[in-house]
Amino acid sequence: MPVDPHPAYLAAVQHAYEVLDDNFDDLYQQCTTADQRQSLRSLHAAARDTYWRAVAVDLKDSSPVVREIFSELTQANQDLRDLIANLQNISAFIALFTQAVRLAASLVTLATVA
Amino acid sequence: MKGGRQRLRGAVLLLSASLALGLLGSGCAVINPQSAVRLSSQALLTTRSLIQTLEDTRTGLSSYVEGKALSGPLLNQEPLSRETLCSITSAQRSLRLRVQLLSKLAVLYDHFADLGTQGREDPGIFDNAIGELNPADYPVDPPLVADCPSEGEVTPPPDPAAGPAASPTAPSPWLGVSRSRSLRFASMRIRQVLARVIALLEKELPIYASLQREALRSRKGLAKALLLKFGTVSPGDLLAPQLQELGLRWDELQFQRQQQDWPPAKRAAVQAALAAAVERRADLLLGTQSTSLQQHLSLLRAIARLHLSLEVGQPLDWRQVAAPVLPVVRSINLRDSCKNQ
Repeated sequence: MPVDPHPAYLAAVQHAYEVLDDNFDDLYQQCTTADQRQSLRSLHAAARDTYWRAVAVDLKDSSPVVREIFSELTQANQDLRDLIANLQNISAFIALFTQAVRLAASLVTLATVA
Repeated sequence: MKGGRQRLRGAVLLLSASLALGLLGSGCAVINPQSAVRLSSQALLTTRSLIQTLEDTRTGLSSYVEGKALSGPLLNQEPLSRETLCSITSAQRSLRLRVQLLSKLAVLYDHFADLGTQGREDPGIFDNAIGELNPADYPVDPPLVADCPSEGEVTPPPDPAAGPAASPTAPSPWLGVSRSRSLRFASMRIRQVLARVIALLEKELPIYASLQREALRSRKGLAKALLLKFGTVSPGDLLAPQLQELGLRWDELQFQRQQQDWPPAKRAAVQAALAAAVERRADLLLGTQSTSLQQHLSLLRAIARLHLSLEVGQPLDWRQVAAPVLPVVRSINLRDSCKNQ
């Protein structure tokens, strides 16, 4: 019987959201422009929406494309962890997190089985 | 001569074993009613405890929405979107359906216990109890947001037994059978339902754990903001376990007075210490919640195995039946004591 991919996909999506949510206040303080602050707020909302969508739908598809996105998201999560451990540049974090949210949203959309 | 006697003894033993297996296989094993009652009472304990856990998770989602409404303005975060509120409503609905399903399982065990104690024949109850789900017999959550895409599509959970509902006019297969056979058939029927419930929970457990985690993280975020950024909550209860046994008590008034005169480094040190304690407490709660779900699942599997033992006529004493349950009860007590601290 094939392994249900939903728990692993959900965990990856949740991890991306948690990286920002757990550190949101500190990151917000580090923003130097209004644009950066708004980007951070929007990314936080998008990551949270994606997490809740992953809870509500059935993530079953494990085609090669979906598996590749999952793999990229896992890597992005690791990069985010490394970056946040020694954060020098908030713009770099925003850029990397934007990529992570895109991957998470793609994973949920493509892995969803109607 | 001696060899012939040994061969004869061997043949008799083989014949006896075959006869015993044949009797068990044909349903002739005698079921001990007391064992059935003991099994039923432990199964009820487990089922109700799991129902409570899922109910706590479901109601926790309403608190989550409220908590996000509070923390959003405090932490400069966007409010929950309509789409997210619909997803939370959907998660609540799924949890409610699982609670319904487990409630029906508890009803089955009630009937099973009745059958064991009174030998009462209740024809068809074990075939129909799950199928007779009525979504209206259970209170629904107030909607978090109007007009979600799947709203109004509340359907009963899939019939885990998937057995045909007995026709009211059909002669019941339960009529005229001995209590022992009734118990055996009932046990087999419940075990089938239990197997389906276990399969569903195995699939859904990671999602429940994820929901619990998110709800707890949200509470932690709000608590830390109120405690550290705004100073509007007292850490007295958090520190109580460290102080009480030594005869000490956190003095909030003194703390507030002294804090005004403290240098920033000293204030920062206290804040860091309190933040670490909050993190530690949240980690403990997370671990306990996650373990509790896994333990409930292990217990249901153990109960399914006890059904098999019962069905082959093996008597079950309290020690056997209670053994797998005790660690879970202890862990639930631990969680409750954490809640009260």
